[in-house]
Amino acid sequence: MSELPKVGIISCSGEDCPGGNISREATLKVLHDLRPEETATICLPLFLAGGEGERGFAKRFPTITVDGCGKLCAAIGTTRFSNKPSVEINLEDYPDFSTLKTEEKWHIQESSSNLVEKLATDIANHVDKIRNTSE
Amino acid sequence: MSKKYILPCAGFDRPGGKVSKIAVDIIQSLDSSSIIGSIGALAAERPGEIKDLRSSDVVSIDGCSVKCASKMVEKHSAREFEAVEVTAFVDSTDNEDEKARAVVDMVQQHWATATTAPPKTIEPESLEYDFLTEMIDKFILRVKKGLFYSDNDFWVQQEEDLVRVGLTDLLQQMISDVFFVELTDVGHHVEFGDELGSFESTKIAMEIISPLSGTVVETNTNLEDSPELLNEDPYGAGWLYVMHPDDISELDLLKPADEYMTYGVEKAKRELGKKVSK
Repeated sequence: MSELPKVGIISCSGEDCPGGNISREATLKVLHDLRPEETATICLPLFLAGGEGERGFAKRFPTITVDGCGKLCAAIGTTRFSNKPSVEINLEDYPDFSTLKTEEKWHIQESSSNLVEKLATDIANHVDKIRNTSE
Repeated sequence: MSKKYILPCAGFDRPGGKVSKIAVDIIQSLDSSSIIGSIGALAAERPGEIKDLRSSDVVSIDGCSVKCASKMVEKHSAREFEAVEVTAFVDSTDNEDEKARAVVDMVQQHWATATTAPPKTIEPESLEYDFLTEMIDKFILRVKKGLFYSDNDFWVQQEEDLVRVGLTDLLQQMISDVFFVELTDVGHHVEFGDELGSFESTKIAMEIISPLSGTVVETNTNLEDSPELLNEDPYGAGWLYVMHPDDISELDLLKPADEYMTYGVEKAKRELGKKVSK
């Protein structure tokens, strides 16, 4: 049985920015398909509203925040209420994101779907790195 | 209050969260003027978000029984709001789109009722003849008669052998919307001019400067959940502390209302001048 810690992923929920849906979908892909055993979901609204379980997890275990825009709600909230995230991802740092049309950002289409894949792969790689350095 | 503000849970990886997200997408497609709120933005206390929340007719959509969206609204606004729970439709259908549609119907029903309902009667906070008023540009500065004022813009009201302390209308207008107040504990003793807690507004983080020496005997705990009272009623429900003064003659060091009004007008003009010269 693995002794390595699980990694919490805190994603932007996407109410307030077009990149939120892409962040959300990519994170779900990691949680459900790519690294289901190695990761734990942290519900951002619950985390921000004062969920002790979510905040407690983020205090004890490494976390990756995935933000859909430069407002960085997930990263700022995590730092404020628990710990500094191990990795802070901002979708706006991806050149592919800036070339998407607004509609493609708000609603997942073929072009944004490619970005979801790329982002999910990056998150999964970060999960592996964090766990490997914990050995 | 004509603006419509909807705060969905949008809970990550939660079925109810997804339904709430679909519902607000539908609502916005039907009425593009409605504002879709963000729990993240409220938690980060983004000024524009808090302003929208407090100036709108608000509906929260909760995806699960934890009711994060409702809690966030309660935390950042003292006003009444409508709460819709996605779980209320759990037995009606398994289809997320249908659940979302049911949520939309409920929200629209609320808007329809809210827009036809008569406005609530708001009790006047105080009679105007209790105040000295002065118009400075578009701002009306109010100074309550019978109180004592510090140069740091805090007031003191004598109540038998105790005093009540608060911040002035001038200060609340200068700092804009207060969203966080940290009050010191009962029993805490301070000297004149010492720090007595702090608050944060959309413009500035500031210390509360004690206008006299004494011991705190009561704090206004309502401000923890409703910091906006400082802006809405600075001389009434927005009071800060009741204190036992060390020496009541320290009130002589403070300004009476008319003197503070002269001081406040000059100060306000300087502040407005700063804004103009930028």
